[in-house]
Formats: sequence, structure tokens, C-alpha cells
Amino acid sequence: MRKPKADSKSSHKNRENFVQNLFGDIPELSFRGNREVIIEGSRGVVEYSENVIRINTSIGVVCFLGRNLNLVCISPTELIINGFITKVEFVL
Amino acid sequence: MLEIFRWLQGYVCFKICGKFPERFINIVTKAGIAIWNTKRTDGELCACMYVRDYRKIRHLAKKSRVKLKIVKKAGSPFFVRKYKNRVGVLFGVAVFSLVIFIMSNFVWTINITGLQTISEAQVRRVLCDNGLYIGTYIPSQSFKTISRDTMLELDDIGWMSINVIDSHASVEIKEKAKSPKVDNYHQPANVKAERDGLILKINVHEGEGLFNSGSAVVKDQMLVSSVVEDKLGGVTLVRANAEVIAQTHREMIFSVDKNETRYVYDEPKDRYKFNILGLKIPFSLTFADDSEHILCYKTESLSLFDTVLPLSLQTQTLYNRTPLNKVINKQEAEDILFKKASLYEAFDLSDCLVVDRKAQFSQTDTQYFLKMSYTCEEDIAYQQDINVDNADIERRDAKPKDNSQ
Repeated sequence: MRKPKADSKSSHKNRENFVQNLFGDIPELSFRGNREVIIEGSRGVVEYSENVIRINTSIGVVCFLGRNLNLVCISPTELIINGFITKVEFVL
Repeated sequence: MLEIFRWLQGYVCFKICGKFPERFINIVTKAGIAIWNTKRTDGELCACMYVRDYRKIRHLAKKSRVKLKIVKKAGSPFFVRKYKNRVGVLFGVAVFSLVIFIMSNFVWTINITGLQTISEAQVRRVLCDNGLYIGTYIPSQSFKTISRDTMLELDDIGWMSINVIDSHASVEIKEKAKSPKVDNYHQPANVKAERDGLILKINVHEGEGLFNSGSAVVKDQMLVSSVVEDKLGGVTLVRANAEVIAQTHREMIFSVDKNETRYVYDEPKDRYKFNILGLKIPFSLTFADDSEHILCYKTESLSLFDTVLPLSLQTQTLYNRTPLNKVINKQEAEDILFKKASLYEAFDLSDCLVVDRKAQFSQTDTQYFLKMSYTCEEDIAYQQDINVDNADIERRDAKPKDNSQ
């Protein structure tokens, strides 16, 4: 007997679960030099100033220090920080 | 693109004042509201948001205990609201956009490059017949077909391409390179007399000369033979070549009618036509009479910053003329006929040296005549090819070899 075909929504969910299981829900940080960083898997902004931006993630708070830091784009799970980043700290 | 999209939807830039603006940002993003360009300056947080979302976030601001203050409003909803009472402006913008959109579908200008011997007017006429003219509706035309048809019609075009960029048609043409006339030096030929004459000087470059200076020859008589006999009795065919200067005699009769028709021209009248994309709108009520007339056209195109616009003013100058019969007297006839004779000498006898000329004037009931007799010195030699088989030529080429053996 042929198996019923899974609908596209459920297959997408399965794929997401697979990725989460693989990396253990770890946030992903992509840097472009020290001028821009894309954070995937954020859980909200803890602090936002010109010199410090703290982002809450599943592994703890990630702190970006630098000058003229801006939050260019924000979505519930992703955000882009722009500016001159001098230091990144992980507060676990 | 994103900027245009945001402008079309309309957005506001606002300040977030309060103790924890970060909390407000988190709540807003979790509610699925897009927020961008967040900047922290002097203890205040600025951000941008779509207008439709801004109306929804009041309760979220209350919840996070912050106050919002609009700094800037931008986008089409505000623009429309601003000019709500000036419908004419909006209508004008709409009409302008529509006109630009419609007009961009027509050819405004045609530029032709690469012409050397073919006239531009001829190319324009053929292009017009095939469908490319000022005012052509671009989507309805296949410019490859027009290019192919034009090349078929004008044989002298070797290659052509029509490129339509916006409303400007650029026609690039390369004319055919004509192959040069190659003289066949291997083809044997005799030298013959082009006309009757008395030989004054003969210089034989190649071949066997048959006449000396002082000999009289008639037209098409052979002057230099292509058959050359060597000392051993062998015969060779060559391409005879010679310069034969002879004294020749020419006669020419010029005539003019006693009653000549001349035209009297009236005061010229101008007619104007306004040309928009090939549509001609007349501007004056001057019409040509039933009498004979001549029309002269002059077109002036309107251009803006070196861009020729599809608007032009055509001025037609109308010359009405009435024919008048004039009786020519003998003196006038002589003047006219001697002018004709001078022109004949200048153009038709340009290769000859006119040694002597005699004029004889006569008349009948209807015409005057001038009979001119010229004594000239000219080169009367011309080459006439002899048809021989290739085998004969090969034999001729091989002959010196045989002799050497």
C-alpha cells in the first residue's frame, strides 16, 4: 500500500526540527568583517545603546561592544547589527 | 527597491521615550510588526515603521511604558493627503506619466550612419516603405524583417542593423565593397582605331606596329597586331598596347527652337504644417492654383538638449508659374548655341586637343542651327581582345622553353 504523501507544511516543520536537533538550537552569528553581524536565533534585545548591544539567545546573552552600533533590521528571531564592532562577549 | 516599496506603503519615523525602549522593541517584533532603522542617540531611540502598523502599536507602547513621538512622515499616503485639495496637480502628474508611457512606444528619431555612396534620402524612403518612419509603433514592428527587406531592395548595402533604444532608432549601414576591375594581362588583344584620322605619332609598347606617322586610318582598322614573330620564325600572341596620336575631324550640330517657352514666377507663398509623430496638421489656408507650380520643402525639428523631439514644422514654399511663349531673335539664338558648343567642348572634348574649329550658322522656319567642325589631336587607340583557347595561351607560355631546348 502506498504511503500518504506528507503535505508541504509538515515537511518544512520536519526539516526545521532536523536542523534544530542537529545544532541543538544554537544561535548562528554571521560576521562581515567587524562592520556587520547577522544573528539568527535571537530571543530579544536586552540592552541597546550606541556602544553596547546585548542580545538574548538560547545559549545566554551575547554582548557586542563597539562604536555607532545600530539595529538595522529586527524580526522575532533574527536581527542585523551594524557599526564598528570591537568586542564580542558571551555571558553564560 | 525596498525604499520604493516602503514609500508606496507609507512609513513614519518616531522617537521612543521611556525607561526600557528595548522592551518595547522586543514586544513589537514578537507581535510580527516590521521595524527598521533603529538608532540610539542621546538617550533616545529612533525607529521607522509602516503607517498601518503604527496605528496598532499604541497599546503595546502603554504596555511597555514608553511614549512615542512621530519625527517624520513619508510615503504616498501622506503625499496624496497633502495634494488632496489640488486634484489638478495629481491629474497633471497622471496625464504626464500616461503621455510618457504612450509616447515611448513610438519612434521619435531615426539616425542613419555609415553611408558613403548611397543617399540618405533614398535609404529613408526605403525604410519608410518597409515600415520604419518617425511615428512607427515599436511593438508592432519586426526590425529584423525591415532590415532584411531594405537590404534586398538596396543592392549596394552589404550589412545593416536597426537598433531601437527607447524611442530612438539607430540604423547602421555598411556598404558593399566593389571589386576592382582587373585587367587580364594574359588575354591577347589587338590595338584598333577608335575613329578616322591621320596618324601624327605612334608609340608601340607591345605588339607589331602596322602603320607609321603620316598614315591615314579609318575607324576599327587594326593599328598594332598581337601576333609577334621572332627571329626564328616562331609566332607569339601578346596583348598589344600602343599610344596612337592622330589628327581627327569631328562635327556637331546644335539647335534651338525659334519659339521658346519661358516661365514667369509669381510671388512665393509659404504654407506651414505641424508634424507630430508623422501626423501632419496644416496651419495655413494657402492652396496651389490650377496653374503649374513648384513646391520647396523645408523641415525644422524641435530639439531639447541635443535630443530631437518628434515635433517639427514643415514650411512649403509655393511658386506658381505661368508659361510665356517668346520668339528668339538671331542674336539671342547665336548666344545660346555658342554656349552649348562651349559646354560640348568643355565636357565631351576634354580628352582632345582642339587645334581648329569652324562654325556655320543656319536657320529653318522653326529652328536655328549651329554646325561646328573641330580638328583635334587625340589618342585613337583602343584594345580589342582576341578569343583564343586556354591551350593556345599555355602553348604560348611554354614556347620560350621549347626554344631554349
